[in-house]
Amino acid sequence: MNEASATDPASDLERMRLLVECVAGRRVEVAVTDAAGLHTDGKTIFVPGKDRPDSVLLTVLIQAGLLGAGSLGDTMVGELSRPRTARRYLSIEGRRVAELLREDLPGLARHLEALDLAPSGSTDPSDSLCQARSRAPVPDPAPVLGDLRLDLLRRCDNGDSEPDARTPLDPPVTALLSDLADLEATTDDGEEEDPTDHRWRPTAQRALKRLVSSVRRFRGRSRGALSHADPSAGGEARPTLSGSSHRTARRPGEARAPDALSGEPPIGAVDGSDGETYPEWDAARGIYQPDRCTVRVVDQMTADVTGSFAAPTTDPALKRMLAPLGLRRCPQRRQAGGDDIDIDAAVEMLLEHQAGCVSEHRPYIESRPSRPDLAALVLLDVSGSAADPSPAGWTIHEHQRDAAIRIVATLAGLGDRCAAYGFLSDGPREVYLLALKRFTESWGAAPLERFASLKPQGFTRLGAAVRCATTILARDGHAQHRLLIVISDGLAYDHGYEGAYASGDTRRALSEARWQGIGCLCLSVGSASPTRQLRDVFGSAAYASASNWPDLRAPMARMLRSAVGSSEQHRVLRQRRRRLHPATVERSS
Amino acid sequence: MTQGAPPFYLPIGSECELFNAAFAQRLAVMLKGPTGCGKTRFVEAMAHEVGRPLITVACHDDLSAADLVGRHLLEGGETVWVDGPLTRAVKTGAVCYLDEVVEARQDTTVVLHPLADHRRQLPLERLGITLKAAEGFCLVVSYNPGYQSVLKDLKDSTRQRMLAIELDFPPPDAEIEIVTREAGVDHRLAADLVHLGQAIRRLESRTLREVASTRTLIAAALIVAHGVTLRDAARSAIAGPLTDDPALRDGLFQVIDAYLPPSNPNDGGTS
Repeated sequence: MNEASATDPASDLERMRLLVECVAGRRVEVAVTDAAGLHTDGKTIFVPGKDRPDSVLLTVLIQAGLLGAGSLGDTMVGELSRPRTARRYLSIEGRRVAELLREDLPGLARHLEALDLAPSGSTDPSDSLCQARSRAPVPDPAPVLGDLRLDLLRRCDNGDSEPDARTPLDPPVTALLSDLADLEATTDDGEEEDPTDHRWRPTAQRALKRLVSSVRRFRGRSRGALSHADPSAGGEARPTLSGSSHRTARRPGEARAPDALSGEPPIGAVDGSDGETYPEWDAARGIYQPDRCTVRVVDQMTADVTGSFAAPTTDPALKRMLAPLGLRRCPQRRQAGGDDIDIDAAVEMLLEHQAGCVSEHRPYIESRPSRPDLAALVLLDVSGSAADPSPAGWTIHEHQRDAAIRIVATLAGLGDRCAAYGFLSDGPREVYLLALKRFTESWGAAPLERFASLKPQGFTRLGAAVRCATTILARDGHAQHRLLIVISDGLAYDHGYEGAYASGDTRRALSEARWQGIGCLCLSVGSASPTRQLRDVFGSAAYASASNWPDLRAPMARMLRSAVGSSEQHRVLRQRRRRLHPATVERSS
Repeated sequence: MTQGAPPFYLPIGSECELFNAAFAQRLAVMLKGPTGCGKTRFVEAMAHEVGRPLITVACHDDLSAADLVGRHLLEGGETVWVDGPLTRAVKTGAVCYLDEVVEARQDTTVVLHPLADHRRQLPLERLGITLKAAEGFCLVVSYNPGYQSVLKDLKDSTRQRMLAIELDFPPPDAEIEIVTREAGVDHRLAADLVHLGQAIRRLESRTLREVASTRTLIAAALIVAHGVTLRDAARSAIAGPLTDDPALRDGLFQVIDAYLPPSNPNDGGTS
């Protein structure tokens, strides 16, 4: 076994990922960390960049095995409040998992045996927990088992929790109680008392911080709920306009802070108009609020282009995947085979045959998919939350922008009509679509500069942005197949626009688009956690998330094909209904 | 009529009973299942069991209605009508198997409608005639729901004319028996390959387009029986067909090295 490989450490980890997934039985990332000790947060296994142990593969696999065996599920982690218990649990359960791996991975059995770990004597995680809590002697966990970072495991929803029939606790509150339990266990447990050990201080600080944060969030939600009751009322909650995703409500009537949109406008002239108004759907009341939103389509300025921006290179794999997308079949004459006989070619062939000439036998007409007939509009979320750092490096915005550029460049390279707009908002009257590339424009340096100059800020009023994008696609798309691709890290959040209200409006806006024969899909890339609401709104067949572009590429290509099919079905249905009930269809549109 | 030894098929559920019932009641059959799970073998075995010849059509993007039904061809100065495979099956009362039917153009599948319902007729518009299906004709289509996109899904009107039989990869014990029988290898070797196959199937679909199928496990076992080492066989028959991406391929090699026992007990390393 080539444990201490001399090859690139990053590629070693990349190669390891499939094996880790097999062992864990689910998707688990492997990433380098600056922290000491190999550990996991439930979704990623972190390998120290420095002082990496020789047996790194085995340690990674044992950590993956702990995840796969359910040893680090929410239920078990919740029981490990005392550090002493946690250490003993890791020692027992880690050895049990190593025994399982020895059976499961015969190719590594010899190396696992060479670790010379004592038998665990445990049958399952619960048994290991019982032993850990007992007074029986348990050896310290061997270094090859890695570390147990309960703080990270608690913070990460690793999907192992069992549904609790009791009233569910808010995650911050659960984390707070957990921290307090840790704090209590640390101070109660005689074995942990050490006057020189101040490890409890960060825990206490974290607990207090969470307590304050929870109270703040609760206050913010109260206002949000109020505004949701009547979003059209003047007293709507107003979030602050910081560039981060920390969203706190502001009191009605408070002076409006200088915001990103007015302070540092990312935008140019407003096309000489006051913008278009769009309705908003109030799902609770089942009515449209006419002219609720004003959307302005503006040109993204390119003054702030940073020299460090490196445009993503073309993606041949994506090009191959998307090449057959939205092609129209066209009859090809003079073919060797086909559905119909090409009369002209057949007559010519007959004449040449009778004249004694040798001619090529191509007397058929065959229809082949050959002409691009697709228009796609990429709607990129550039609201403030996208400025957050991504777990995979970069910011979420950089991941999203990279994906948008690749999609637009690929579609443009294939000859499809495509456009790209960023979107952000600051209340219903200030929704902006930032033109990055219009349908009429060629792909090149100018659109790239506009992408480069984007700065995440403001909020997300997704329904209005979708409606405006739908209008642009319907007006300027000029293709049989039309696609709306939303790239966003989370669902709508704006003044008086959140929760069920925002979901309902966004779902309605998408239905309107689909009714017009426009296929819709949503992509999240680089975001820490996929937004379940987005999946609910777009549907599982039209929403994909991934931590990085390579992981997003394949599902995205599949969904694009699916969305084209969906748009085609809606278009046909609409045509059929128009034939049957012309007046009804015209009214509804 | 089919002759010779029956093709080996190990029933996993009630699929054979369902097929026999559909055949007896003259219903069309739709087989669903992942690539390499045994759909084609199942049809071969059932055609043999009901004693009808089997005509298989591998569907593709450019398959047109004329390819199935037939067309006029120019031969010298003459125009000659040539039956397509579907027409031949209708005339002779064969089992017509359209493999990966969703790959065919949607307008193509519409010609199946009158054949798949109570009419059992095939209109030949170019000839101005309608054929009545001969006794014993059975239409069977297959597709892989996970692999196909909505764009290529079957029309609802087509689907509802068929009886659906869902196949999946067999459970480990059955798959070991299948690999043992098909490749003529010992139980231990088959068990090792099935163990590896099960591990690769745990990988999420977005990592790989497909997973290790029973067909690839049999292929690996066959070349092991021919003298190739187990790991080389797995690399060639299982990892190679799954991906062209070098990083994924290397990752699969590592999975193979971990999940398969070393050829030499003293060499247990992964590369």
